[in-house]
Amino acid sequence: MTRFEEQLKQALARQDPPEDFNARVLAAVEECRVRRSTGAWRWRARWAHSWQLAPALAALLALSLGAIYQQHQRIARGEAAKEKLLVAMRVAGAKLHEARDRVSKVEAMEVQ
Amino acid sequence: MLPTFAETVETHKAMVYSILWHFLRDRSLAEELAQEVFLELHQSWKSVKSSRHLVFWLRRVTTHRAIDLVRKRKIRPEMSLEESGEPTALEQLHDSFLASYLGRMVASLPEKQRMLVVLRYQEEMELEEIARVLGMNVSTVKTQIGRALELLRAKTTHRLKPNEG
Repeated sequence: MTRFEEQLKQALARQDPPEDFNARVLAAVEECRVRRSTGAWRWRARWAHSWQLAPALAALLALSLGAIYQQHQRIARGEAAKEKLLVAMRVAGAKLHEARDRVSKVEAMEVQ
Repeated sequence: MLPTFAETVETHKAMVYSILWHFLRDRSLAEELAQEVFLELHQSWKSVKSSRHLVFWLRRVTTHRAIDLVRKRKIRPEMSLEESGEPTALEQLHDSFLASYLGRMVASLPEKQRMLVVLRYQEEMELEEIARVLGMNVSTVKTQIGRALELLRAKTTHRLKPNEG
């Protein structure tokens, strides 16, 4: 090693950090550990709360399904009533037509 | 057998802090980053296989974090080689002042060369070890250290040459 390199080695000699360095590193490690465990606990707690909401969500879903079913039934009943009315009108039309034929025949016989 | 984490901090704090201090030339930044390196070590503690691996891990993470920080924050050396002031007559006489002057000169080197010089002369590492830590070729390490030394020697010789006349 040259003299210059020796001087460089001296210039770049190791130095100690401030005295409280160890304490600060260990405190930071502890803080990090606490933060991580608190974070995990919060995450679990959040999930626990969401499970408490499950019955309410189930009730809401049941109510919605009930409303949809009732609406469907109402439409079906309306359709059936409409169908019955049409049949009745068709029957009435046929009866009317038959009665008119009879009246026509009776009138023709009376004229003869 | 591996030492405890607290023992590791005590044993290696000077190495980590000095690499950062000589590279960054900023005491608070060096201290802050050294703390981060040890925090990272704590998180990777289970992956440390031996005392030798521990030293390698610390040197590798410290050097990479330092270079990343300089690149990310675009930190420039305190002064360029051209700007570094003339040492006074007193500096020529005392080794401590010469050391301080050389330290400032090293800090003004380009980042890769600066880290190579720090690892070579602070840590007294072999070229192969430096190459492994920085992920470089041994020949590149050798060339770059040679260039850095040449630059430092030229500047220092010029600056420290006794005034003539």
